[in-house]
Amino acid sequence: MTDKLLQIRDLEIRFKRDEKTVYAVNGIDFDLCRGEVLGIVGESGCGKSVTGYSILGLVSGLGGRVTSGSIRYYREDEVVDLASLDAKSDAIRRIRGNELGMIFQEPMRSLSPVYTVGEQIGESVRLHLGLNRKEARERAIELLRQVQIADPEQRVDAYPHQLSGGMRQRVMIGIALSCNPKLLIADEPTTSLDGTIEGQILQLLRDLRNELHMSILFISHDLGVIAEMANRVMVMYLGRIMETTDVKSLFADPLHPYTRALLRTNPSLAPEPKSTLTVIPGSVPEATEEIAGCPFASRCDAVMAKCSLKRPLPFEPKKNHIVECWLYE
Amino acid sequence: MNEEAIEPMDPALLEISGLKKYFPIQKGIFRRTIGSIRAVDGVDLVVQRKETLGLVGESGSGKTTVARIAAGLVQPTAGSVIFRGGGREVDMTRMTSKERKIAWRDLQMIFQDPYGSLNPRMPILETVGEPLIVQHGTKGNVLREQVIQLLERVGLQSSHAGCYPHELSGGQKQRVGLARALALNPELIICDEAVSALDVSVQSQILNLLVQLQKESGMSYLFIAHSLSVVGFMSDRIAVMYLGRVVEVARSEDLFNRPLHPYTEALLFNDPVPDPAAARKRRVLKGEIPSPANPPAGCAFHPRCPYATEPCRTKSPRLEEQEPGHWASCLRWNEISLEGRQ
Repeated sequence: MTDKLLQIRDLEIRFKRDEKTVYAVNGIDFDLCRGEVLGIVGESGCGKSVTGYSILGLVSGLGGRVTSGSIRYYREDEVVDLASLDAKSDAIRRIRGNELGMIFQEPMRSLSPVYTVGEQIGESVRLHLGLNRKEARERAIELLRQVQIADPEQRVDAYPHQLSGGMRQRVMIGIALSCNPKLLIADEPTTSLDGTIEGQILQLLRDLRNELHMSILFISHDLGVIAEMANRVMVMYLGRIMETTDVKSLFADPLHPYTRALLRTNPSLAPEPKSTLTVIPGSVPEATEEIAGCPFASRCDAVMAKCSLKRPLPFEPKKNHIVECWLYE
Repeated sequence: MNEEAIEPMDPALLEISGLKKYFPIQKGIFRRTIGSIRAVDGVDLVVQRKETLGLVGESGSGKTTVARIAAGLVQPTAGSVIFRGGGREVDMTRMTSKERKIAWRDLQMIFQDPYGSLNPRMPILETVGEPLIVQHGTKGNVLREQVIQLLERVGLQSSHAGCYPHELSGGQKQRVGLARALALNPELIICDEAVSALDVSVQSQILNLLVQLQKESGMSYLFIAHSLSVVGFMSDRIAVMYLGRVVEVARSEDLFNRPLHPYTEALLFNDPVPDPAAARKRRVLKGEIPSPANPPAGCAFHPRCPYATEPCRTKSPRLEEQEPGHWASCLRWNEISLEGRQ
């Protein structure tokens, strides 16, 4: 890993909700390289989105706190620990929205309804690149063309409500790309889109990555989308990373009982219609208690006595295939 | 178990014919009608007894409107929905509220959003028991016992009867919705995106439950979802909708292995499969889904269709039985060879 862009160590994120502590992310380590698409997959409440937000310093805005750990971001000439920066500091503002871009699930909610798309893309480039109004508009048109919106000269003056869901997501991608980010954090970017439109947006993201050589942290609950987009995948459950490996190994040879179960429950892999799908019993528990052992122990079909007592170490039974499970001790 | 084919003479449980629903587009302070959204534009479908008919399509395809009309919740612009449940034969589109109440003994609906479809101020006992109270006047301990039986049937415990919706997880709420739908032993349950909001691990539990309940009680499902994998798993037959019309109907395996409509092929390509090798094969469809207020002339799919030729722009194809039990509305179905899952 020579060309590291991001190095996260021992990251812990906590939220306060109704007097209770929510243990959202519980000591995770991972690296992200330049040009890589790293997928994070998991069910709701596994901490995948919060991990993405923490890189941008947005956790405090959601009422959470990074309680320990480091997020080292490798710039050209220096290394910055993003976790140590204040969410409103100039230092993080220079990086967020400039070198680090983000797109969200719900494009309508993340765009302002009262500004045209041109103004919204323009705001970012005027702020970060210091362009004037006219240059910003030209850059906006150029970006709309880059995200393959037809008639960019007209669309630049459209308001978000005049665009379809797919086009709004293209505008969001345009804003995220406006300052040539090194890393794009994509949080469920196609979840609210229809199948044929989802295909278009995924294709666009792949093209842009190849064109601009940026890294993508691709967050999704959908194993199918992850299979299509990621080079490497992390599977998360209740704030921990269960398994990390390259995309081929993950799907061909999953090692963690949770990953195996997730794949088996997928109806598209059922041997025949109306057969009995394998299920994971119960549901994802609320993360309101600190878990001493493996967080999946209560639902695991290969559980051992040790599992609920001691947190599994990251084992590497195969090269570059890391799994936090006592089965591989 | 005797699972032989349904006799062709057996009248269908649900028969949707010539169904249309136009929503007016109004403008100005006098609400002048300036056009209409053709949400459903001529749909014919049947659901046989003990069968699951899957209905897939993207947003704006009209699948939810079809479901709501079939349940008697929305009045169509034209067409009929004949429901033959409970030994009666009724048209769901032309009935008094009293008749509708009777029909709902045999036809129930479950919805996507388990949060929005349960009354937050009603304990589960009342939510599940309400159909029994309204229809049969069940009360007291009898009601309680019946509700507990229903809860156990859907994998919940008797202790859940006293809970309120906010105390339950998403999967548990969907089980409550299902228990309520089952209360009157219906012959048809219309499931509108019933598992779409659930996490995958919970989704498979609910799918298994739906399959198991059907095997036990022999009811039919009209199963609506946007995910082809989910619909393929649940359904005996599948109907694909695009812009208010059915473009293809076939037995599930035929639809997956040998699609006859280019739109079905596109849906198959764009359904994410958890297999990196298959995923890279995805072929992307051009263009946006047109607005049902202004559908394209000719075949509504022609602007996005990779196989469209000149006649497709002007001539509107009809849904016809191209192969036994396999209906498709494509002018060129015979000239093109489409790729299925295998």
